Amino acid sequence: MKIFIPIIVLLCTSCSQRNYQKSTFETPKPPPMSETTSPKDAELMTNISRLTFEGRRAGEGYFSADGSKIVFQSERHDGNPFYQIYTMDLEFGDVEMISNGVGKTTCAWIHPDGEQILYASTHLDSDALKKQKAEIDFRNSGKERRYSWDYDEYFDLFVNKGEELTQLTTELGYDAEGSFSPDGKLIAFASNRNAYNGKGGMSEEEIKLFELDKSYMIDIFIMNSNGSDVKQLTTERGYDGGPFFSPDGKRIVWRKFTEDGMIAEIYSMNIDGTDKKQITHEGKMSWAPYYHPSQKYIVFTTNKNGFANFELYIVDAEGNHEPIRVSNLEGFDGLPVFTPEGNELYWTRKKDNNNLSQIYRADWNHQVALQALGL
Amino acid sequence: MKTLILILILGFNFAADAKSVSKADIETAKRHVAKLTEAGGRLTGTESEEKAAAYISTQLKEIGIRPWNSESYFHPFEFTAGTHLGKNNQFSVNGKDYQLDKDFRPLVFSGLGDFEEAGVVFAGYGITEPEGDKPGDNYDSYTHLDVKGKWVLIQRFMPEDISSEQRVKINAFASERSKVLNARQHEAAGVIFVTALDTIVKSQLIPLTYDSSTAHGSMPVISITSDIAEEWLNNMGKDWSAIQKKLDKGDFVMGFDIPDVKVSATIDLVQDKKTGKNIIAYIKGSTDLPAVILGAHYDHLGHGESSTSLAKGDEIGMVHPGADDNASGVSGLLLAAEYLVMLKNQNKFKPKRDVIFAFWSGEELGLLGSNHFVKTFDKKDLSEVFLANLNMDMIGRLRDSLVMQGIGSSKQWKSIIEQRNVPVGLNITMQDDAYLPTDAMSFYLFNVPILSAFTGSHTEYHTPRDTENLINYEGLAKTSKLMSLITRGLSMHDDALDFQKQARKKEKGTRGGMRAYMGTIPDYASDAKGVLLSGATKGSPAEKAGIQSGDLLIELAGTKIENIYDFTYVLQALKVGKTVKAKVIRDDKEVEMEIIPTSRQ
Repeated sequence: MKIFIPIIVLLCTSCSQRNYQKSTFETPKPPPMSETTSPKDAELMTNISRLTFEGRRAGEGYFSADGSKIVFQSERHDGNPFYQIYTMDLEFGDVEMISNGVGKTTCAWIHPDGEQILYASTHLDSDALKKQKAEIDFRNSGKERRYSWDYDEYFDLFVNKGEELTQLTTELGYDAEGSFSPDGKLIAFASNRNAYNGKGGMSEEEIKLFELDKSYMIDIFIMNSNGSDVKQLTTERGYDGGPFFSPDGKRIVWRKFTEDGMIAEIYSMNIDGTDKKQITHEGKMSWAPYYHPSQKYIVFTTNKNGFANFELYIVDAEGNHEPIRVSNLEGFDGLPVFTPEGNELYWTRKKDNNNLSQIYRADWNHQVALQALGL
Repeated sequence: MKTLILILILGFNFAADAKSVSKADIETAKRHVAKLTEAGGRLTGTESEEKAAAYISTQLKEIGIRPWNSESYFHPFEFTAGTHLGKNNQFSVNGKDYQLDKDFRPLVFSGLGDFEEAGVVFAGYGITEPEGDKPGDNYDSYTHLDVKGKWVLIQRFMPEDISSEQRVKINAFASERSKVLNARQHEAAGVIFVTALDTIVKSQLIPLTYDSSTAHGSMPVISITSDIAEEWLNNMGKDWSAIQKKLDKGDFVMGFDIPDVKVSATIDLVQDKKTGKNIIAYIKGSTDLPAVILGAHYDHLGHGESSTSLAKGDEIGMVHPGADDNASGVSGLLLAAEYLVMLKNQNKFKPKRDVIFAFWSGEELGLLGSNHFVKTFDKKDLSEVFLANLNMDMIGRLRDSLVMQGIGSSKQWKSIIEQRNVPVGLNITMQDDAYLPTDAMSFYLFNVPILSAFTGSHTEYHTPRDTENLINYEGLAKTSKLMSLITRGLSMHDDALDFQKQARKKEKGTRGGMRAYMGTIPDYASDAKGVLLSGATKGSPAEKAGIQSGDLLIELAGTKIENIYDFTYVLQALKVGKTVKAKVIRDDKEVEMEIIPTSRQ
């Protein structure tokens, strides 16, 4: 197999997807709109508005089970250029910082009890402060790199409850992208720990590749919510990430990259790793899948309309039908989630290169979605 | 208190209802507006104001919120409701008395008393523009003119035929007050305004319109008819028309003494004193940090007695219900008080700062109530007293977006608004300017950051047609919710807001030199390229020309219009009675029309 030397161009971060690997050829022009689109495009998503959290960037908004708050990551903490984790109460707009302000954090999830908050953090890395300073110096130098996610091997999973912070994973390697099961008993997450602990069985070529792209060895894992009984669910090379449980807690949906990192498709499997099923067959980058609470369909994002023009689509949970286009907006639209009631859609949008990503919302018409998917 | 219980229950279901307000809120909003408009035109100092005040105070009592700094919610203030002519006005020329209101009339801000006989000097338009880069290049009616101890005879307005650039430059110094100040700086004894020959005006004598700035100067100021001045000039062999033509071209015309004319005058103006009242309640905070004050004015225009009424034709003299202006804001403020008291009772709101709810009166007469209030503190800087003033004035006509004004008064506003709008989900347009024609400005001038909510102007503004059936109650309740959440957030935190002082835009809002009247009503909420018009005043030139609501004005008198400033600029340059072409975009098509501006005064 010919291996691309990928140029990593990250448009946006994601628990669901970290890297867009761009080959050296030009970005293709978006194809003409010939694919299936919803006949009632406008009716799926209405009253679009920007939530616009402050800070350089904000994204990855995930709801508590009762819909009363949202947890998100944002670059807004003084002295730390990296994401920290915040919750926003949706009755009053009160914002609370959850992480401790040190290091990098990402990918938070609220336990169904509404109190425990799971996220990944590098604050125990002894170089955490040094890395902060380096990044600040870099930004102060006037340079702005295209966003890149470095899969810092000091990322571990933590659960915050009030004043208490419990460490769930300790292994070297990137442990992140975690989410609780609907009953709160399990955690699915992504990790490249096998590249560090020798269990990966990597060839020399693969070790070189891993040096270039740390996501190459990321797989999906599951464990108990106290961090015990870790099981690996995927084993294939290439980035498997962004696992979320189905509303009934029986399946996990995730996105799977090909080995060369050029194509990603949506998959689902049982929580024991059996019955892996490919849901999309777009041959492009389709990722960030998230179940509608009805469990009837999955929303995701794909760049089938142009390399940088990610748009939201829905596909039935079995992958029997053609995906239906949901959004038709300029720039990047990704990381979609439904509210627990399923009547609103929140997603991360980056309008253009002059704007950093922010969270948007829209009213969601479930009935129209069912009709459009022929369900 | 049925509504309270209902909200409480809905409160637990906030995921679904977080973005919308409850039906009960909307019904309450409606009831408040209905009761306030029923009270009448709510002119400060009248029985109608009393009725509205009684309603508001009853509501506050029912909400269970305490009076601020007093046993009573009411904080009365005395004000000058108007000025009328006294019995002793006199204007004599060489011993001959002229007739009051027919031949002459004092200006409302004239000095009072007896003014002994003195000579008269003609000083053109009476304008002195400050010197620019090149000395002597400025417009100056007083060049080589000694007016010391004499009356100056000054033409009203400004040169009619000068370029629009010059017009805009001079405009700031062309108001009657500017001209009088200028005359005083030249040590004149008094000012006689006259309407130049062939100038189109509604009345040659300047009306005794009370404009809320009560102070009488020391200098006598009157206006006389053109006939009198013409006689003076004719007698000394001057051709006024010829002079006028030169003046209007902007050419320099040397002023001159008018020999043999000696003028004396007695000015007798009587101010009508009345009492208005602010209504103030508060929720006590746990510290003595500067308070958050949330306000809305409850007064309106009565039957349109003041000059700011835009009633035309049959409407003149009718009750101005002011449903949007500002029963809507009062309704929003009552909702906010009710909501925050409820949250406090539920332990969801623990204010560190006092939260003050102020229902202002006298706003329409010139921000009297709020102005009186800020002055009672006897400080030049109120930043130690108030963290911020939030204001709701005209929040009843939400269409595309809510306008948040005064954003430039603090750097933090933008992110605070965005954060607190998350549960409400309004579309918001932010405007920086903090010099606003509403009560918030009273605070801004005392270094307090302000934020004023506004849902845009409309054709019913300041007319008897501003009625309750046109109110968007859901929009009103959402706006109130947003302001409540901002207030709640501010009052729960120690963080100060940084205060940003803005440069005041040059003579914004004064229309000293603006002669032409078109009657368009710009939609200030719009950020479209051009000036979006929410309509035209009834009977105005713009209405006659066919301006419709929703027209986007893009060109006027051959000049491209991109924003309200361009528009004001061109308006200043228009000549009364001269047809101009206007280009608007209507339903995606360009439409041209002709407008004939009339005289503003």
